[in-house]
Amino acid sequence: MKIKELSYIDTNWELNNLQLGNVNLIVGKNSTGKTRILQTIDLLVKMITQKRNLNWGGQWDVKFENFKGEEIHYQFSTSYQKQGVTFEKIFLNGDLVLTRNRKHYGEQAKIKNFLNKNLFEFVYPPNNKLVIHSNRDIKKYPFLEDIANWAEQSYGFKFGNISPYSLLNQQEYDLLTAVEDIPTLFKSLNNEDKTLIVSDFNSIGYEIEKIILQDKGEITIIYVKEKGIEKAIPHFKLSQGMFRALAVIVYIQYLTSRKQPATIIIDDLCEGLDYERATKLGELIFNKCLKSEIQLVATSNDSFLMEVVDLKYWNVLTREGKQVSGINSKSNPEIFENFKFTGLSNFDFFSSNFLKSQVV
Amino acid sequence: MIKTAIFVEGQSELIFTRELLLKFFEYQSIWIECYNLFNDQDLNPTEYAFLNKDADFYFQIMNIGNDQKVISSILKREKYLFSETQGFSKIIGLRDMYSREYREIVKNSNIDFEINQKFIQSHQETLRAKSIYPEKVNFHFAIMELESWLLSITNIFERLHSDLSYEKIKKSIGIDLLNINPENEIFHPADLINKILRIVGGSYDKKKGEVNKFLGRIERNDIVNLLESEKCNSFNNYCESLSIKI
Repeated sequence: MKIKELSYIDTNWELNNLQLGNVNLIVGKNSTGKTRILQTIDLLVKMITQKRNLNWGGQWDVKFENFKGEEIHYQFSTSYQKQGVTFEKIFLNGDLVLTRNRKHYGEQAKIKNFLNKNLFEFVYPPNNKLVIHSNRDIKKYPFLEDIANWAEQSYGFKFGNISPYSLLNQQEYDLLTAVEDIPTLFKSLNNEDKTLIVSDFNSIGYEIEKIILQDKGEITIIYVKEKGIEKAIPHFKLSQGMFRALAVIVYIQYLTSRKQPATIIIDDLCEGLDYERATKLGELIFNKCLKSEIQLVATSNDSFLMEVVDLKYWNVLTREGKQVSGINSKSNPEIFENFKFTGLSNFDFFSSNFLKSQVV
Repeated sequence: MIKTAIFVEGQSELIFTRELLLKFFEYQSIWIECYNLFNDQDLNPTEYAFLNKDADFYFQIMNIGNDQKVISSILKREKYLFSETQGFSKIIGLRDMYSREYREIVKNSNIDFEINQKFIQSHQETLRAKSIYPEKVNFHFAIMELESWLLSITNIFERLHSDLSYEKIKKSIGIDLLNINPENEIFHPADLINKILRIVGGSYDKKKGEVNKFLGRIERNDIVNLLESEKCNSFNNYCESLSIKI
């Protein structure tokens, strides 16, 4: 399951029809809303997984595509004054399968039961809960299960915050349900995956022979043995760039090894890496996600990374007041097509006034 | 001394341009320096320099290593190159028409002359709109690749291997090299060279050694003959910018 389109409105901010594919690079000048988009996805996940309460105001409109290729269109609103959910609707391939409107129908919601001749039945979710929170049933309401699974299998972090001293899910700036620390993730992998990590790590310009695990009490330490260096270095003594690159490679390998659909969002991908590492790590991550069932949503202003990520995976954000929109090859194919003829590089697509000259 | 900077998309274009200049000017009064400029930051000299401090013409060839970044690199460095301290009088850009973008647009393996023209015009428009000195910057496409120009050099394959006569090539792969204009008919010229060399167990993958081997067989007369022929107009245009005239 992946997000195909996302819109969101609250009193301060509005995101209009952001279209997403299997892999996505969101770029935009400072304060156009790159991080805010990831925080919005983060918030959606946390609301669905009940890690955030719903007693504040926002309107959501999200289109998902499940593994069967069906479109699940989920709309809902929350209100601070009414302390919870005021409206919910779900369409499956365009057909209404769930409706709830507190203003007109009070506490009741109507939901299609796929086990009972597809008849609608009434359910009565608490005001401060979404229908999905009190009605999980994989046979009766498979579309709710798809949404719940998507949220439970969503992960994310800010690249620049990756540090050996903090767990990915304990960062000050937490995004989604990033789990465990890097040594623990590495430990959970089989030998084939571990070998692949060493090979991937070398493919981005490092020269390591092996990665060794060592348990010290409750703590797991990974040691990186570089070629030509006698002693292996513990992960907390690696350079910042090296540790971040290793962390992302381990994380992606962990997700791909499970062979389950997942979503990963990474803020400021490749920030602070040198040219070789940024371009190679960027290519590696995008290619791995493209070959797997992982939906990648990354933001960046890194010119090195932009040069290697195909423009067809880009969303260039524009902001007018509180309204933010994404320009991409699906929403504006002619702009992307015209750009191919100009001879300019990917980064110029973002940094030059080409876009401004094309957008009416 | 007249100083010209040449920005090319890859190693084979760098080697070709260097050899073209050296052979046409017969190593006289010419000074060539070659660099790799792979990420807009690291400018590293390569082994192809030909030093002559008494020369009348100085050429600085820069391999950008990316067909999409030739114009961008020119735009980033033109102010510096045209500054009084650097004193360059001209910048020339060269890239192949054959590219990933081209293949995506035409969606088949056929040359589309309208698309060629659109690429050429759009690149010129980009320079007109963005260059500080557009009149001093000339941009060229090798159509479809510089290997079209190699394919047009008379008897080049037979000089590489006695079994590679025009007849033999025609018989083996069905292409009459003597009577076609590769610029108009060969979609992927480097691939055709590879196919031709495979007849005698060789290969061509734009590697340094392969390009050098090819260019080592080319003489000044070959350049003159190609300029005088009806083939490969894109070659004539490039030569004109390089002040190679007969």
